[in-house]
Amino acid sequence: MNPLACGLKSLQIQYHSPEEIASAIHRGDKAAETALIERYYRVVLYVLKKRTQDPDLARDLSQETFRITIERLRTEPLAEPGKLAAFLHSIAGNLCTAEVRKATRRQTYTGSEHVELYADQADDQFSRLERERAALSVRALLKELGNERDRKILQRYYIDELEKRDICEELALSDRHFDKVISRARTRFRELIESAGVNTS
Amino acid sequence: MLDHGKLPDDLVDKYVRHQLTADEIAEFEIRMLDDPQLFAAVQRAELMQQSFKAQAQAQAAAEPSHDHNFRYLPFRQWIRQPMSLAASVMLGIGVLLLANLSTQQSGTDGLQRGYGVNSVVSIGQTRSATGETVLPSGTHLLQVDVGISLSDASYMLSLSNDENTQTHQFQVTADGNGMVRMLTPANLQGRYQLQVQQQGSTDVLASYSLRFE
Repeated sequence: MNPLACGLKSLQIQYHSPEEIASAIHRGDKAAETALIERYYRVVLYVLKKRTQDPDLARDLSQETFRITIERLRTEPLAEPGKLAAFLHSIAGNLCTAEVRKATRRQTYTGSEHVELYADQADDQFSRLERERAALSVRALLKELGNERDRKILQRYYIDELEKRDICEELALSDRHFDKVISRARTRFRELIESAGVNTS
Repeated sequence: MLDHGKLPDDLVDKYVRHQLTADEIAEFEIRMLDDPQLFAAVQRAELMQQSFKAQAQAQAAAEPSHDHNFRYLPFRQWIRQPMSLAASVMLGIGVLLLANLSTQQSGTDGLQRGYGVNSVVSIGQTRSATGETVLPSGTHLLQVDVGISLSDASYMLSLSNDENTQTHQFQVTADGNGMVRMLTPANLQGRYQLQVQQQGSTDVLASYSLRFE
């Protein structure tokens, strides 16, 4: 079951804090369970995708995380309801670790390139479109830059992934100048992708 | 431990670039769960990073002659490369060895470079010169007038003390002006006789008295 497709809305009752959600779930409030998923699902999925590098596995583990959390909250309240996020994170992390261990034990070596090809094909079209729009935004951003040195700063930071102090030393920059260029680039990038319809909030 | 105040953008970049410790990552992700704006910032930062790399790859693909693998590294990064570090250490050792060798070679062996003398003494400048030549102890260059000869004559100079217990002999050749030269040993003390003989002859051509004090 995809939690986001369940159709239930928790808009009638607003849960403003993790404590409210945790307490309400323990009281048997189904709307609170939906609120839990709506509030945390995207970030849990993001974190698990980052760790597993496998979108399908990340989705499975995310659902398992929420299942375990809801069952736990129904039967026993959290000692610290305010630390609901930490509890979720811990469950997700443990499931991820257990899955990695299981995968290592049953690892086989058959046509790994076919597995990678399948993974590419399973890539979300929407995400691909997002990336294309973002790439165009970067191109526009670089074009707008007034001088070659600013372009070099961004190249060193985002492409070569050098540290700030190394870049400042190489290009004889002050920290302030570096921060200004990067901050302006971030702000402008955000403007460009939002105007291109890429929604990150 | 992360700063629990407002998280700066560079911390978001550090998270996206996997530059945080495991504990810092956990702390950051827990905060992200309860902060939608932070999560949005992370997604933007990730998208920005990916887009820059994609742009660089597209540019590199469009310029096939460009050497993608070559870039200048700042010195601090360059020196951290294992081969650069090894090369610098070897160079340093080489410089030290050369400096050490050069010091050893510049020793106090003065005989290969020159020899100092206390004085130059001309003996027998006039045929009627008599008397004793007094010299301080040390090395002296003695010039003896043996007369001009039409042939390249060789001479034997003998320097003997009065008791004949010490004799120094020198085989020399006269120059175009009829002069022969010799260096006296440095440790001479007392009276000595300098006799000049032609090589192969027992006849004494001239004899001079010297006193070293």
